[in-house]
Amino acid sequence: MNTNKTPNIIDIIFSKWGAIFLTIILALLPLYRLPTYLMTFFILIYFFGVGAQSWNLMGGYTGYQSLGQGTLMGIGAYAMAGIAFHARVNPFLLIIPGGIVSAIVAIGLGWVCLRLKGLFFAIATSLLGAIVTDIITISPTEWLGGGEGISIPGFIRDPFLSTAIFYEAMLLCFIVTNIFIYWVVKTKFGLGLSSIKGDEVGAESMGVPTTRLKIMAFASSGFFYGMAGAIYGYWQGYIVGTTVFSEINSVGPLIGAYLGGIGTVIGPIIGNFIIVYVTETLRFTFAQFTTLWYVIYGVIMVLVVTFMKEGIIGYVKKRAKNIGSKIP
Amino acid sequence: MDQFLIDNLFTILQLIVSGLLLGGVYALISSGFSLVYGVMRVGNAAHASMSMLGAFITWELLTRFNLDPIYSIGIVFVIIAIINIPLLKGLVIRMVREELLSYVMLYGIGIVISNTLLLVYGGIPKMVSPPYAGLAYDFFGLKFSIIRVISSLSAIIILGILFLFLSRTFFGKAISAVAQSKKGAELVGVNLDSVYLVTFAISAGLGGAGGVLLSQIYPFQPGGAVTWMNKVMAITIFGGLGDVRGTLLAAMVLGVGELAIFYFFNPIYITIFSYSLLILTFIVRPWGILGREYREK
Repeated sequence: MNTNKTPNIIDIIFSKWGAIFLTIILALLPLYRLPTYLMTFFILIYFFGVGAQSWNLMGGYTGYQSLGQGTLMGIGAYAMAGIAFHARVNPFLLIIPGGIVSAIVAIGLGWVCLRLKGLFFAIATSLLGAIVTDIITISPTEWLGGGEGISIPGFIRDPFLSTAIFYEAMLLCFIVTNIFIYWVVKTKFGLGLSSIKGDEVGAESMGVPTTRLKIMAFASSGFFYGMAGAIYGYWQGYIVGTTVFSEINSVGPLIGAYLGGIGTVIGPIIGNFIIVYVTETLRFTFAQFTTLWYVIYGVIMVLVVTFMKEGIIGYVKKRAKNIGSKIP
Repeated sequence: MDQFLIDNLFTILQLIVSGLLLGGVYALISSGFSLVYGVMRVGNAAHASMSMLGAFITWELLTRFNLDPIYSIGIVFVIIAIINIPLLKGLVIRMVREELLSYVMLYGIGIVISNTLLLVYGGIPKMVSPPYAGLAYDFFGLKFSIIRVISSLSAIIILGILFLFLSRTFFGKAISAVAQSKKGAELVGVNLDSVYLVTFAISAGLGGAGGVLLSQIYPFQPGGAVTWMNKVMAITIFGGLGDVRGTLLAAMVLGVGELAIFYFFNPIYITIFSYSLLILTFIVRPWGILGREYREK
C-alpha cells in the first residue's frame, strides 16, 4: 500500500505487523501458566482453525464444498498413530509425515471425487468418514487397532508442560496454514483456483489445468489438516475411528468458515473462534449432555448457512467498502 | 463354479427373492429423495433422518398403543409430511435450485434430528417387531418372511399411488411439469409455491413411510441415519437422479447385493459396497444406469 497518508488503525491491524504481534502474544501465552481448560480451548481453536482454513481453500476459493474434510484429518491422525505404534517413533517426528500421508490419500480421493461438481462432490465427500471408519473397523486389530482404537503413550509426565508443547505445536501448524493460505491466493495457483470457482469450463478453455489445480488444492488442504490431526491425535493420546472421523471434525470447520465468510483469509479465523467459543461454553454448561452439544451444532449450522451465507467478513466487505477492501 | 452354483442354487434363489423384497422398500425411500431433487433441485441430506424419525414414531406407536406397523405407515406419512411444511416454508424455500447450499443446510437438519433422537432414545439399537414378526410363508422350499412380503407390497402400492398421482391428477402433472421445466411451468400458470410445498411434504412422507417399513426389517439406532442416507444416495445416483425405472432397478440391485454380502461375507461390507457403487457410478456413468447422457446449460 504505497499511499502517502499516515496509516490508520485498521491498516495496522490488518497488516503483517499486526499478525506478527498477535502471533508473538499467542506464542507467549503458556508463560502465564494459564489453567488447563483455557489452554485446551486455545488448542481447539487452532485445531479447528486449521480445519476451517483448509476447508476454505477448497470450499471458499475453489468452490468445491467438501463435507468430508475431517476424514483427511483423521487419516493424518491415524498415519501418525500407526507409524508410532509399529515403528516406535516419537510421535512429534510424525506430524509432517502424517500430513504427507493425508495429502497422498487426498490425491487419491481427489482423483475420484473431484470429477464431480457441486452437489455430487458434497455427497461423495459427506459419506467418506463413515466409510473410512468402517474400513478401519473391519481391518485386523494388529494393523490400526480395528474398532478398539490405538492409544499413544505420552512421553512428558508434567501435565502443564505437555499441554504447553501441544499448544505451541498446534499454534505453529495454525500459523503456517494461515501464511500458506494468505500467500497462495495471490499466486498463479490461487488465481487458477478462483477461476475454477468462477467458471470451470471457461477456465479450462483458457488453458487453466483445472483438474491438476483442484487435486493440488485438495492435497494441500489435506496436508495441513492432516498435520493438525496428527498433533490432535497425539494430544488426545487415544485414537478410534468413531471419534476421529466423527462428522464434527468435518462440519465444525465448515460452520466456522461460513460464519466468518468463505473465500477470505481472516473470515474463517474469526468465524471459527466464535464457533469454538460458543460450543466450548455450551460444553461446559451442559457437560452431562454431549449429544445436546451436537444438536446445537446442527442448529448453528442451519442458521449460519441459511441466513449468513456471506459471513461476517463478507457482510463488512459489502457494507463498509473502505474498511472491507483492506481485509485480506 | 458350476458345482458352487448347484450346491447353493436354493440359497441364491432365496437371496434374490429376499433381495428384491428388500429392494422395494429401498425404492420407496429413494423415490422421495429423487422426487425432491427432480422438482426443486434440492439435495435433501436429511431424507434418511426423516426415515429414522418415522422408524422411531412406529416404535413408539407399537410399544405404547400396540398399533400394528401397517397402520403406522399412513400416520407416519402424515406426521412427517406436516413436520416438513415449516421446514420448507422457513428454510428450504430460500434455497430452491441451489443444490449445494441446500444440501449443506439440510445436512445440518439431519444432524439436529439424529442427535435429538439420540438424546431422547439413546444409542441402543431398537427393532419394531409386530406379533407376526417371526412367521414366514413356505413356497416350494423358498421362505418368504411375512414382514418382508408385507413391507415390499406396501412399498409397491405406495409407489403405484405416487405414480398415478404424478401421471393422472392435475396437480401431479403440474409437479412433473415443474420437474421438466420450471420456466415453462411458470409460464402456463403453475403455482410454484404450492408445487414445492406438496413435493417436499410428499417426498419427506415417502421417506418416513420407508422408515416404517425398514424399521421392521433391520434394527435401527439414531446414528444409523448415515448408513441409510448412504444407501439412498447409492440408489438414486446409481439409478440416475429423477429416473423412476432406474431407481427401481438400482434399489433391487442394492437389495440383492446387500443380502448376498450379508450371507457370504460380513455385514459390515454392506456400507462399503453401497459406497463403492456410488463412487463407481460417479466415475463411469454419472447420469445413472439407464439414463442417457445429458448436458446442462
